[in-house]
Amino acid sequence: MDDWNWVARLLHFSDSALPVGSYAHSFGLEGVCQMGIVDDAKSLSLFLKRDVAHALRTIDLPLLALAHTAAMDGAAEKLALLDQLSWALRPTRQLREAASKIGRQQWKLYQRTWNDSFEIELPHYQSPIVLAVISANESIPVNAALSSLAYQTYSALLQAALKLLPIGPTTTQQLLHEALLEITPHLETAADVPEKEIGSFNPVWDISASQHETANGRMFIS
Amino acid sequence: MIMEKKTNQAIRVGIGGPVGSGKSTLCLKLCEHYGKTRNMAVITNDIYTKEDAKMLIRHDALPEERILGVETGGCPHTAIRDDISMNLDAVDVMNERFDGLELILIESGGDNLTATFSPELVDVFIYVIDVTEGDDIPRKGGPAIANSDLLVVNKVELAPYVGADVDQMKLDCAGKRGTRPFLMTDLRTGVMLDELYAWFDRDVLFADIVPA
Repeated sequence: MDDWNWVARLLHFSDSALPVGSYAHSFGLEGVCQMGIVDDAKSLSLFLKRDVAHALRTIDLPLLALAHTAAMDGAAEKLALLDQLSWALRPTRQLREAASKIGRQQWKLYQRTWNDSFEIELPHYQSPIVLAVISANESIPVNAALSSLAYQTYSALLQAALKLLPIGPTTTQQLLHEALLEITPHLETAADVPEKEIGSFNPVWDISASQHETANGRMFIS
Repeated sequence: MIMEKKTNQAIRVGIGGPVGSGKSTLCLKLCEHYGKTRNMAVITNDIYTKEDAKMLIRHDALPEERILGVETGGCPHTAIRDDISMNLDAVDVMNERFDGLELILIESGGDNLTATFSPELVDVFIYVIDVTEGDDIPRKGGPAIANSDLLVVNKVELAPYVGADVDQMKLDCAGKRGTRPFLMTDLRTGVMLDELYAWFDRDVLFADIVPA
């Protein structure tokens, strides 16, 4: 019989109720809403399928895939480099800190639940790298971990969207379904992205996230 | 059972309640009363800004480095109950910043009647409501009205101006809370403040217990 024990670990760390502080972040969505670029379900759908999917394909998924391999190989220095890269690729301070705060909490929870003896030192504890380390250590296949990261990303954005936009929970579930369908083929190829090619430039998202940092009124930290 | 490791013995006091009920004023009064004799700090939770922290700093409640604002986003109840990670980080910051810290006040962002503190975040929970929100608030009950360690019903001196029946509110508080204490206060003018400090000395700081 196949060993499916890793499923429980993956479900635990994919849960949107995991207490890692993600509820306080919109990961740039509030900024693009404040700019008027996203203002309804249709524009949100476009944002998820175009901008977020592109960021996943070019940054987070390849980072996780490489980090998963490094963790399986026990390559601590490589993990630290990928963690630095993940930090450097976030365009604003609050996005960098959001990924690190969430990653640190994921790591603390992992140590206090499934594994209290496994230690690793990372410079920033960026969440994709932490998820990769946990996944590798718990024998979670890389494609499953990639799928979890995509789900967590879209789910967090859609939770924020419920507060930012005049849309309801059924609509957000439909958008989640559509976004996951579109990203799934790219999970297989995430590991093929060369390390030097990781990164993207999205002027609208980057500028709106920068403006959001100093906005007079805001509902989310990022 | 997995429990939050409390490596520092600072007593953590949560102060929650609806917007405008007097949470920040209570924090200010406690800082003014205990700030010179106790090694204490304050963590404020604000939804959008760090205004509550700034207010305490403006009033010289404590030295500025002893006041830390946590920006919680649109879910203040989540930050004190379901996902307390940001507040625990703030507690860690204060414990690292001040050796031998005795007391940390954690003021919640204003929220509805269902908001309560996680027992992993605070040791004591004070809930603040006020008479101007409607004198039926105690009767509506809820976990904070019924189970907080102290219920403060504030702004009693405004009751005549808003038609609030303070005597009925007292009866409703007693009915919902049983033997748990509550105080009908006016924090700005000092009504029942001495009683509040006496409760804090006895039930929070255990000041009446002499070490053997």
